Amino acid sequence: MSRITSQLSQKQLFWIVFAVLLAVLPQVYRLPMWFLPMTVVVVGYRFYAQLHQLKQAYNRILTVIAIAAMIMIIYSQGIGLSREFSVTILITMTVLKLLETYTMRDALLVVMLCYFVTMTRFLYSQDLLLVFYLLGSAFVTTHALSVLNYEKTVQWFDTSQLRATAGSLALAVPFAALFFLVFPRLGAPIWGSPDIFGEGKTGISDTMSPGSIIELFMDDSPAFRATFQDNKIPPNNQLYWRGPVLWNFDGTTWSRKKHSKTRARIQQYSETEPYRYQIELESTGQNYMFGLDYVVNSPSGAFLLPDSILYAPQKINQLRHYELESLLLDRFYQPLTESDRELLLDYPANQNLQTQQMMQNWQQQAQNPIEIINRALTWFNQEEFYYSYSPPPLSGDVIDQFIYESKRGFCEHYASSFTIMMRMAGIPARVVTGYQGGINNGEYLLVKQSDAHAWSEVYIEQENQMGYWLRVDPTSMVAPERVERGSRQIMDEKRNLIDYDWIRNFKDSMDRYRYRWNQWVRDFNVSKQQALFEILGVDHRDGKTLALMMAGILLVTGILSLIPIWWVKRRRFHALQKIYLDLAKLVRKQPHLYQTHHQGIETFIANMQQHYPKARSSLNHFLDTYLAARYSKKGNDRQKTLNHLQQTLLKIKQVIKQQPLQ
Amino acid sequence: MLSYMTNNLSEPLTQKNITDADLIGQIVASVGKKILDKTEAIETVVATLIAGGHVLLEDLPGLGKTTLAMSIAQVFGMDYNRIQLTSDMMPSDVLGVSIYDAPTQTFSYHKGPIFTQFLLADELNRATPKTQSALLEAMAENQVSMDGKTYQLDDVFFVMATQNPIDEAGTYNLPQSQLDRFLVSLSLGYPDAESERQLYSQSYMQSFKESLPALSNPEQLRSWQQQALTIHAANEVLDYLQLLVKKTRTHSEILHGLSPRAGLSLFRLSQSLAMLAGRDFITPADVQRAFYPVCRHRLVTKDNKPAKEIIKAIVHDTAII
Repeated sequence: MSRITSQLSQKQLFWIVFAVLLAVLPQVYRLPMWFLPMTVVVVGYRFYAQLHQLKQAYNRILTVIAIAAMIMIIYSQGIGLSREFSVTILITMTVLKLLETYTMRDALLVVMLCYFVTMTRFLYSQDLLLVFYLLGSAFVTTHALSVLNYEKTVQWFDTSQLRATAGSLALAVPFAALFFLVFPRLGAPIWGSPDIFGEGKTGISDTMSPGSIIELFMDDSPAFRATFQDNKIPPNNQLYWRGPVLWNFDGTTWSRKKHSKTRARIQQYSETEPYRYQIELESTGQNYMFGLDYVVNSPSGAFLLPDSILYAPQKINQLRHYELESLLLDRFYQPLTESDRELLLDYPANQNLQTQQMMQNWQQQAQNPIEIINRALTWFNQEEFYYSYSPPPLSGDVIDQFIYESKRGFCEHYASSFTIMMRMAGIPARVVTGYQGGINNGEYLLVKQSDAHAWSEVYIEQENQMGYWLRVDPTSMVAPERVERGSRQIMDEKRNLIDYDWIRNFKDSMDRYRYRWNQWVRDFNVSKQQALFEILGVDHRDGKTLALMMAGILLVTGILSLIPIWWVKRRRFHALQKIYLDLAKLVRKQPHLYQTHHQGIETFIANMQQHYPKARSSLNHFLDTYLAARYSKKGNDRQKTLNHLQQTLLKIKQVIKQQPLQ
Repeated sequence: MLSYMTNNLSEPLTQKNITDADLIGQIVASVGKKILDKTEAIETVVATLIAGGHVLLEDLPGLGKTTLAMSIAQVFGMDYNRIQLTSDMMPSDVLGVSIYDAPTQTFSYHKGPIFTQFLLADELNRATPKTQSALLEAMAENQVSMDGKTYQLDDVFFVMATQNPIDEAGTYNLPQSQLDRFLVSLSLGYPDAESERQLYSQSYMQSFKESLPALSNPEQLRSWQQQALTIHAANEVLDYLQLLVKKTRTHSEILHGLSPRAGLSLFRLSQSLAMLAGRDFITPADVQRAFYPVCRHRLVTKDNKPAKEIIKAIVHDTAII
């Protein structure tokens, strides 16, 4: 029976199944419900079959199972050329393949599939922690391959073989690094294009309905990182990272206004020194980019909308870096068109009548808008309002309900209510969403999804002067510590089961490594690669140079991979063998004679004596000394013998030199 | 050399200055006067004798098989018997027979021709398998069992069997297991022109009739046999030997390679050849020399290809540096 059709041992099967499970595990969360039970059944059956030596099921049955799995996948995920669909098929079929994995050939295929499945996890995220996990998965897969090829001992976890596997993986590291640096990069990853693969990412969206921000509060993943010039980080209460600005309110949901123009650069209207900083934005799958209020100028590849939103024409599907300048002010001078004014004063009619009544009273009593704003803020502060992550659900007249009944909520509720209150009092106002604050992580400021925030902007009209937008954050009246010290300070309630302080601290400090990882690995894009090529002296990355480079790399890789093989397989000669080879080298120019040195010294010297009769006695002497030194029982003084042989060799050399070639 | 030899014919062993290797050299030279141009074959036969093995000679008639056998028996001073095997021979014709002795009313055992020191079994493949195996069993066990009694053969017991490769009709080829009992097999072949020309000369004719003087005796042979066992083999040489044996098993053109017993035979013969060369250790060249005679009758090749080329190729392709 040839090796390729040989049956698998239990240990081999165990390692293959282990490798498959590890490769599949990190994707289980997004696979259909039936996937996990199916895996359990397949693996259970396969081990049962192995233990009871059941024969492989009929091909027809396996075909039926495969078709059934296909139908289930289409049923749960729909059909189409999407990332989800392709990866789900790959993973499901890899697991099902175990049903017919009885021989070496199939096992080798499964191992290859495992590597592939492991790689597909990178289509979803390239996070640092994930890299460690997938390295572990690759290790187990490689070890399965090793066990398939030879079983050193019967132990299931053979430490020496495990170590050998680690060694071979370590050997791959330099090659991986090399390929990482020089492999041609696409401008944007093909899976990053939402047109091909639909993407659902968390993050701030351009609508706000009750409870939409609460999901973000639960999410400690990073939104972006900001590195300030000279590490001058502004105080926390000035860190308003502007995101989508919401104009329209339909009674429950806020949404954006569509703009047809872009905003120009901010004129210097204040003496304040602008802050300069760089943002590393995690992929969001949306077009919004974040900056501190108010951004002076748009970075390249993006523009500013009239409501000061940073907007990228292409969706942000990979890590993005940009540099910004901001004036950290709470007001921004900008003219307001009449149509915009109307839009900003609009609120759903015949709703929230109680609030409407109160605001109309306030409007009549007040001298100017500032007074109304201050009154409202004071009111939020004095009345029994609480900041809470678990407010009671609202319906119908949501503003009335919130203000007069529940009085519990978070930024979303306060910003929304305040904005509508202002509109009812005749002051143009809008909701701004974004992030507030951030954690100083040493050299950069980490802003997490849980720092999501919403606040209001009101427009103050002035006589004889241009009006301005004023930032008002009603949440700061209810929970000042939210704005002063950051969202973490008001986490009085546990958000989930494992929400402990030390875990949050750990996660935040972990982000420092993630930041480095992003800097050195994830963000190694086309331009950085080009810079590297330039250092190497390759200026133009046209097809020809690239092809040449790839060929060169493959050649170098090939040679590099041969070195360890050569090193292991090289012949090692001891001193006596070396001196024999020296003797042989004397006649290297006579290939026919030289070749016979492989036949052993006796044959070779006999041949030499035929060619060089004058050296006969020296050669004989050399032979006798050599044979005695190498093969006899009594160990002569080794060094002395070697010296003696060396001298004899010199004599032979002289004779050979004197005698012309025959 | 010749005068020296003749001078010491009477007491060759008293000369302290003659080493064993020299004496063996003289023996080979002495036999070489009868069998011209076959020094290597003679050396192989002598080495086999010292290694305690048996020789299978495969040759056409008239190439000097009998002469070789007789010469060697003479120079070693051994008892010599010759049996011509035919298909009507019974085992008792070789081993001997128990005959009822009427006066003493007992069976007495009459020893067969096998009770000797040097047995030439001519045309072994003409005997029936029954007779063949009786002979070969005696060879292997160095004893004859008859009627519940065991009769020991001489402890220097040497068989030289011959086979005729042509005239195959009416012969029984030895099975592989029986062939394995012969340490070596060889074939003398034709002499070269010059030597053959010498055969016709007057002086050779004259000397051919005379028997060779004994240069040694069975006792000394026995001590040489003991001595050969102590010849040293370095690990490197044993590695080489084992590698050669292994290659016969993995070679694509060989169906059945050497058995471990054959490997041991190779080792023994290498030891004797080293002794012939006057060394107390084996060198790879000894193994190379011993390899062909040991393999010749043992290897089963594909499509009955001649083993000689394959064996040569194996030795050639196994580098010793």
